[in-house]
Parts: sequence; C-alpha cells; structure tokens
Amino acid sequence: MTTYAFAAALFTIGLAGMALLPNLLRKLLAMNVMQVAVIVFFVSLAFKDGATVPILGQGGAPVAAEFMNPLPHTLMLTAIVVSVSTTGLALGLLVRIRSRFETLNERRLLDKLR
Amino acid sequence: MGASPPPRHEATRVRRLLGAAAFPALFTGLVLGMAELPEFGDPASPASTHVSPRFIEDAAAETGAANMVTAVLADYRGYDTLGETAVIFAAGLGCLVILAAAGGRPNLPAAGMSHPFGSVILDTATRILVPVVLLFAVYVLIHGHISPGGGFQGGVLFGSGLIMMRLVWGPAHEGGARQSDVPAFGPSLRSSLILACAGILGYAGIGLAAMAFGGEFLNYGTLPLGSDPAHVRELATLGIEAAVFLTVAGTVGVLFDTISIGMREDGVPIGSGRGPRE
Amino acid sequence: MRDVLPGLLVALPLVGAALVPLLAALFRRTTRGAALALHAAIFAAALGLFGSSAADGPIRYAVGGWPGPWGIELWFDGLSTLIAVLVAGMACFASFAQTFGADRNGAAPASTPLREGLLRGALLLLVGGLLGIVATRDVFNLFVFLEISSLAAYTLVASGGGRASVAAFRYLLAGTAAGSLYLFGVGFLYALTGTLNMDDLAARLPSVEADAALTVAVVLIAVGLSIKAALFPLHGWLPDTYVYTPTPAAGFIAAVMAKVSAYALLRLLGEVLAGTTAGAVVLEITLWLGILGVLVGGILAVAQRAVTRMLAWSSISAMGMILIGVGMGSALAITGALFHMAAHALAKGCLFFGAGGIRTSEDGDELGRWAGLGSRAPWTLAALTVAALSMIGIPPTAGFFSKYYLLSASIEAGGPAGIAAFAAIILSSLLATVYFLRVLEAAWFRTPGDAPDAAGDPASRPPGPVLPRPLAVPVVGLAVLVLLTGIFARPFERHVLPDWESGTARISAPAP
Repeated sequence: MTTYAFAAALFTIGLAGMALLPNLLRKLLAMNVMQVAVIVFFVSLAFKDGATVPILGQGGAPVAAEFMNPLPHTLMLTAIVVSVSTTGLALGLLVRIRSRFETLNERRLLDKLR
Repeated sequence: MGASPPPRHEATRVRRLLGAAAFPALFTGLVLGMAELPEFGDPASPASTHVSPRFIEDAAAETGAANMVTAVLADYRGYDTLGETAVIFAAGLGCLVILAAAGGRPNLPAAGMSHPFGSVILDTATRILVPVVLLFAVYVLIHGHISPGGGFQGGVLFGSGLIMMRLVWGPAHEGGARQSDVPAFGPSLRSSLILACAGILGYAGIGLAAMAFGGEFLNYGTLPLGSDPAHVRELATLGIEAAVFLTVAGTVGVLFDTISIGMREDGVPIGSGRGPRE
Repeated sequence: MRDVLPGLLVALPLVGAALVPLLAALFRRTTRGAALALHAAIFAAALGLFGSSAADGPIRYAVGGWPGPWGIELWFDGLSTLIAVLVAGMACFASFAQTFGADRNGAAPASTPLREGLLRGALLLLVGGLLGIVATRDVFNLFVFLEISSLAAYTLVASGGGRASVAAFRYLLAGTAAGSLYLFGVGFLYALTGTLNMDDLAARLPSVEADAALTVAVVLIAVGLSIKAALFPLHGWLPDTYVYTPTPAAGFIAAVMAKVSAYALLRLLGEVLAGTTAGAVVLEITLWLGILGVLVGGILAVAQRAVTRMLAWSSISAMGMILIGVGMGSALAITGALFHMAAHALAKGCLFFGAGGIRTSEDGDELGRWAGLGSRAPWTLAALTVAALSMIGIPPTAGFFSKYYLLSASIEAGGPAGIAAFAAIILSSLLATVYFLRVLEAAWFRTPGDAPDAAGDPASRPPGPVLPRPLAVPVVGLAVLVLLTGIFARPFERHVLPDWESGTARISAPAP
C-alpha cells in the first residue's frame, strides 16, 4: 500500500507541476515525474513475496510462485521507451521554441504570441 | 488572429485556485482506490495468478528464452514491441522534422556538437572507453536472452558511446571543424536516420516473412530456420532484438545530433557564437 | 484473405513509415509515388476487411500466433473496420494533399525531398498508430499505438514552425497527460483482474468486488481518452493545434484523430467496462458533458473571425455530438455517433483542406478574405458549400442523417438528458447555420471591395489559383463523398448495426 500511495503522490505532484509551473522546461520535467509514477505503480504490481527476478536459473521446471511477474516489467520497458521518446521530441520542440521566441516562460510566450 | 483571447493573468489565477483544490482530490481518490487493490507482494493476487504463470512456467519451453521478460517482450507481446520501436522512431523523425531539416537548408547539416569539449585527457579517456562501451552494447544485445538486457538496452548503450564521441570530438564530418586529429568515426545524421529506418524494416520484415510462410504477423514459429519451434523462435527473437538495436542506436544518434545542433529560424545554429545569448 | 489482411493492415503503415524516409534519405528524390501507393494499399486492406467482416462476420486475429489473453489479439467487426476505412481513406486524401506544400501552412512545397519524405513518413506513422488503436483487442497495446499516433501528430503539427511548435508542445503536454492517465487506469484494471485482453476483462470484471478501485480505473481511463477526444472541458489543446497545423496534416488530423479516441472510449466504456456500475455513471457524465460541449463549441465558433479557428471550435461541438451518442449507448444513438464520425470526418476534412489552402493563397484567414471567391473558383466553393451544408445538417448531405439518428435517439431515450440532448443538437445546428452562412455569404455574394474587414486590395494578393490542384482534388472528392454517404445512409446503417448487437456489446434499448 505504501508503494501504491507513493506512486499516487508522485503522479499528483507531476500533474500539478505540469499545470502550475510557469516554465515549459519545468513542465516537461514534471511530466517525466508523472510518467515515472505510473512505472512505479506497475512495477510494484509485479512484486511477489518470496519470489526472485524473472530470469530462469539452473534447476528444474519453474514454478509461478518463485518468480516475479514478468508481464508488468515488460509493459514498463515499453512505457519507459515511450517516456524517453516523448521527452526527446519535447526537448526538440523546446529548442525550437526557445530559439524562435527567446523565452520558455509560459506567460511571456503567450504575450509574444498575442 | 481570431477573437482576442481572455485576459491571461486572470485565467492563470483561476487555474491556480482550481488546481489547489483538484490535486489533493486526485491524490485522495487514487489512494482510496488503491486501498482496495490486492496487498503489495500478495502471491495470490489476480495479477500473479491469472495470465502471468504461463509466462513463468512455459516461456523457456515455448520461446527458448531464459529471461522471461525477453520472452514476453519479443515473442508473446512482440507486437507491442514493434509499436514501441515505432514510438522511438517517431521521436527521431519528429526531431529531424522540427530541428534538422527546418528552414531553407538543402540537406542535413553536419552532425554533432558545434563546440566539442576537446582536451588531451578527455581525448585519451574517450579513446579507451568508447570501444569498451560499444562492445558491451553488443554483449548486452546478444545476452538479453539469458540475462537482463536486449535490443533496447544495447541500443541505448551503443548510442551513448556515439554521444560520448560527439561530445568530445565534435561533428562527424560534412564540414564540421573538429578540434582534434582523431579520425572521424560514428555515423552522420543521415546514416543514423538510415540505421533507424533499417531497424523498423527489419523488425516488420521478420513479421511479414512469418506471414509469407503461412503464419500470423510476427508468428516466428513458422519461419523455416530449423525443426525445433522453440529454437526457431529464439533465433527470430535475436533477429528482432538486433533490429530494435539498430533503430534505438540510430534514433539516439538522431535525437542527440538534432537537439545539439538546435537550428535557429534563420539557419544559424545555437551555440555558434552568433546567437543573441552567447 | 481473412488471415492475411489483418496483419497487412497494421504492418503496412509501419513499414511505409520507415521505407519512405529511407528512400528519401538514400535517393534524395520525391517519394510521392511510393507514399501514395502505400496509402492506396492500406486503404484496400481496410476495405477488404470491411467487406469480409460484413459478409462472413467479425475477424479475430492473434498476432504472433499467441491467442489472448497471453498474446495480443486484433478484432475486426463492423465498427472497427468502418473506422479503419475512414482513417485509411482520409489518409489517401492527405497524402495527395502533401504533394503540395507539406510545409508552412502549405505556402511552399516541402523544401527538400528529404523533408518531404520525413513528413510523409510521419503521416504514415500517424495512420499506423490510429489503425493500431482501431484494430487492437488489448488495452495496453492500445496505449502503445495511442502514443505512436500522438508522437507522429506532434511532428506534423510542429512542422508548421513558429507558433505551431508552441501549439505542438501544449498538445504534447495534454496528450502525454492523457496517455499517462489512461495507463494508470489500465494498471488498476490489471491489478484487479490480472489481464489486459478486452474480452477477458469484460468477462472477469463483473466478479470483481472492489467498487472504489474499479471506479478510479474507469474514471482515469475515461478522462485520459476524453482529453484525446477533446470532450468539453478537456478540449483546451484543440483550437491552436488545428489552426497552426500545416494544411495537408490539418485536414487529416481534424478529420479523424479525435474520433479514433472517441471510438476507443466507445469500445472501452460501451463494451468492456459496460458491466460495471462506474462505467454506467461515467457514460451518463459523458452524455452531459457532450451536451455542454456541443453548445460551447457552437457558441465560440460563432465568436471567431478567423475561418480555420471557427472550424476548430465547430469540431469541439461535433465531438460533443459524437459523445452524446456514445453516452446514450442505445443502438440508435451509437449508429448516430458512428454516422456523425463519418459525416463529420468527410466534411471537416474537406473544409480544412479548403480553408487552409485559401488561407495561403489569399494570405489571410479572416472572413473578408473569402469575399468574391465564389466567382473566382466556383467548383471549389461549391464543394466547400456542400461540406458546410453537411455540417449544418441539410438533406441530402451526410450531416443530415447523423443528426436525424441522434435526434431520434434523444427522443427514444427521453428524460432530462434526452430533452437536453435534443435541444442542444437543434441549437447547435442553428449556430452552425449562423457561422457557416456567414462564410458562404462572403464567398458567393460579396465582392472583395465591399467586405468590411478585407485587408489590402485584390491587386496585392499573390497570383495563382485559389486552391492548388493537390488541395482542390481532395476538396472536391470529399464533397462528393459527403453527398454519396448521405444518399446511401440506409445500407450503411444496416451493415454496422447488426454487427454491433451480435458482438459482445451491451445494447440497453431495443433496436428500431
């Protein structure tokens, strides 16, 4: 439950940062925090008491209770890649915005766009 | 253009007030919902008992991969991974459109930092480190079957090796003034793009080849690579991991090069000493 | 054919998205032919699936040979194949439009073959993402393809440069928040059921006894998809995005992008989560927000002086109308919603191609720039008029029938929601009459001189046709389709409806 709540807190902080921070780069960082929250949540779903990492070692046939659930790990590998890609594209956009309008402050940007 | 927008500062204040109320409510709601989820670490939870046991108990026999995450990633849910590769490719494509090929530039500009951090110490360290990093990347790719690793991890490592060279030695070629006498190594922006495209084509190509041999899209079992289906799947998995590796390494290169070039609207790169800030 | 087409439909766009930039990078020549051929092949695959699912029933396809819930399944019924045909067909028009001016609001042809190839690749990627969303039967796979389509869309929006990059960044923030909310909701569903397959979820959810957790899951998923579908009041990203996107991409994004998210909302809320209490409540809320969106979008469209911005607000109104249908959930209402998706996609695509081209050729977007266009380009303007009449809802255009179905569904539903929906649809049609007739009046009955807000004299305008051929052909073609869809409304209804009912869907009200 604590890890779940931790994920909820991270998610809220990230979303609040995206909405309230004035600087576009900070909004982007807050967005990353929000994405990490979802990853924390999924990975904590994979945890099983008394189980080990989902890589087969030596020995007999594997039993489900002995290994962590590999599915959330796989899904989050995908989600991490999505998050990295979005961040990369967003940074490209910020470079472009910064060079065109010479500010990343949302209010100043809106004033220039008016 | 259009109707004049409402006074922005007023709108921002309203938004802040709304936010002050909405975010604690969001947190409370999430936690209330989480209180009803299965306990953390519960081996009897639906997530632990419904679909996943097959991935743990049968993956090695069905797909030949000891690393269950690799088995799910590349085989059971290989279609997701194709999508994921397309996502990272989309980011590279996006940065090229937004930054590198913008303005009136006829072709891709020279890749890499315009002001590299060259020095004797960095230069020597990079000469020693980069080959190790690149080799380790290939190891991580190939070893992904039986240990943590795979195409994404290997590709990112390979890309970071390329980035290290870019940071220290500057642009790869096409007219960039290098600050050291190290021979140019590392793909140009154009080659990075070609690498990334080739990866996607390789991945989808393996999937389509499976269709040509009568299976579903990405059903590697039908490929004529041997008699043992698990072994065939293992080989095909290595193939698609290599394809992912290409796309990721290429895209990391594209992302770094385009963002570090950072074209201005008039075509003058940021950091060239001619911008308003520098 | 049934065992090949599903794989081709999802694979071809992704192959094309890599192939076209590769060709451009290798040969530095135009990739027009390759891109058009790929789009035509994708459209043919979508049509084949549409026909096949109509003739022999829905198609289930296990990608990789792994059946659900372990692998990822695709599902093609009347609903998904219809949207797939719509997406693939609009993409053909958009690819044709990209021939001219993929750049800078269409002001100039793409500056280099390489850039042209990159933009064509981004369009193919967008198509691949949208078709993936439409086809998939897996909730996580839906997220992956949602992100593919989003990243490709940000790229196309940002290719306009300047203001477009700001619009794209804000779109990116909204879109990523939407994706993360959706994924968080999927996490809740996974924790409660242990599965990601939609059929498996629908079967296991009724036995889940965690109402609060389920409610959170449903709300997160609904809010996430509603942002992408621009449901009021989560529409903030839409106007700037539609206005600053270069014309060829704007015609496509405005036509289908939000609708595919509305389709996903329909699939999940109307089908997968339909058995849950929270699902029913959220659908009810969707209905009311749809009613509000119809009105707010219409009123703000009247307030705009720039034509593309007016069209963008009208889109918010249209998305509200589609979500009214989704929210009511009766067979008739869903027919109306689907029909409105098709009718609005065709008409709005036509209008955006036209208005965007005119914005470039007349060097401005204000109403006054349209003065006298009717005599200069009668065919183009006639086509735009047909599309505008469809937006208003005048027979025999497609827009009349979608509104007719939605109005009948409101009457059938009754109660305060039914009455409110009825009133909102009527009112929004009146508002649409106001804002579209204003444009048509300027185009047909005014001369450039007497328009009050005409900037500059006609002589200073750039020479050349009102619409270049790559934009004029889609405009006229789409207008013809608007008429044909209206005329053949009945067969359409007969095809899509039985399928939706015979599927796993819940239909609360009896079919008409």
